[in-house]
Amino acid sequence: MLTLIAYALEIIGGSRPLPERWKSRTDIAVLRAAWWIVLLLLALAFAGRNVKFVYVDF
Amino acid sequence: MWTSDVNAHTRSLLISFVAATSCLGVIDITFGRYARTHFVPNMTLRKAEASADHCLVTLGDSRMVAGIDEAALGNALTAAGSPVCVRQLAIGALPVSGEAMALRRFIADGHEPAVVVLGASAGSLLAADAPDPSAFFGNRAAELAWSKPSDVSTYYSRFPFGDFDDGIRFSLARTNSLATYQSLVWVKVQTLQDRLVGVDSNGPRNRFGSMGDMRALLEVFRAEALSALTRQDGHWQLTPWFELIRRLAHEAQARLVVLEVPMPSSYRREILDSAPGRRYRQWLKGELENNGDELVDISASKSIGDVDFGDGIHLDADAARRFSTELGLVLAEGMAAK
Repeated sequence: MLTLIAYALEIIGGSRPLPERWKSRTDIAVLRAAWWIVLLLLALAFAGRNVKFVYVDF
Repeated sequence: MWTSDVNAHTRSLLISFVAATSCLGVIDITFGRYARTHFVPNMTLRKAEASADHCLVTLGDSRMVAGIDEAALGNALTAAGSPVCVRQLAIGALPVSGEAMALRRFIADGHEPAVVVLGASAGSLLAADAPDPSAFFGNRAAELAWSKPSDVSTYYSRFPFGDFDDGIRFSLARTNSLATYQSLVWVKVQTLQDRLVGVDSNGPRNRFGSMGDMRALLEVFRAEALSALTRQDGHWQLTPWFELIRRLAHEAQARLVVLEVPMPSSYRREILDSAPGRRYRQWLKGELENNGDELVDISASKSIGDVDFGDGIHLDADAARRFSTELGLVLAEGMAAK
C-alpha cells in the first residue's frame, strides 16, 4: 500500500514518468491540467507578501 | 518509435495546457465578476459616479477616508454659502498614482468634478522610486485594473531600456485580474495563515486593521516622509502622477486643492515643523499657487487633538465631523474669494 502511495506521489510530483499506458490518454491530460490549477491556487493562496502592510477592503 | 513517443507526449501536454487555460478563463469569468464587484476601490468609484456631476471630489488614502465626513463637509459648505455636493473618492492604501487613476477613471466615465481635494502629507507628492510590481497587491491592485498601457512609462521612466523586468511584469499583470483575485483570496486565507504560524489576529482592530499595524504604519509614514523630504531637499520635483491630477482637474475646469491630511502632534512636530518640512510646504504652496491651485493646511486644527486619533493615524468619526466642518468653512472662504 505504502509503495503504491509513494509511486503515485512520485508521478504527481514529476519525479517518475507517467506509465506508458497513460501517456496518450486524454482524461489523464485533463487531470494533469486540474492538478496544475490546484497547485497554482495553492501557491497564490499561501504565498507570503514582501510588502509590510497590505490593506484589502473586500 | 521515439518520434511517436514525443508526439504523444506533446499532444498530451497541449491538451493539459488548453484545459488549464480554459479552466482559468472560466474562473476569470465567474469568480472575477464577484471579485471585481466586491473590490472596495471599485465600489468607491461606482458610488462616487452614481451621484450628480459638479461635486467636490476627495482623493487620498485611508487618512482621508477616515478624516472626511461627506455630510459634515457638505453642510459646512452650504452654510457658508457655497453649496456643492461632496463625493468621497479617497481609497485606503492608495498612493498618489492610484489616486490619479481614480480621478482619470471618474472623468473618463463622463463625470465632471467642480472641486478636487487631494489629501497629501509631507513628501507624498514628490517623485519617488519606481514601485516593485509585487506592490500592486491589496487595494493597490486597483492601479493595475485602472491603468493604461502607457502608464508603464510613468511608473518606470527608463522602460524599455532600463527597468525592463519591472516594466514587463507590470504590463503583464495589468492584462488580467489575477492580482485582484489574489488579494481577495489572501484576505480569506490570512486568518488561517495566522493560526498556522501562531499569530494572534484577535487583538484590537478597527475598520483599517489591527491597532498594532496602525502604530507601525505611523512609523512608516514618518520614515518615508523624512526620507522624501531630505533626499531631495531644496530640489524637490513633483511626481508625474500629481501632474496628471493637476492636468485632469484643469481640463475639467475644477478647482484643485491640496489638503495636508490631519496627523497627530508628534508627526507634525517631527516632520511638518522640521526645517525641511517647513521649506517643503513653502515650496509646495508656491508651486501650487503658480498654477492657480492652492494648499490648505489645517492639520494643526484646534478642533482635533491627539486623543481623536484612536489608532494613532486615523481620525475617529466625531473628530472627522469637526475636521470636515472646519475644512468646509476654509474651502468656502476660498470659493468666495475667487
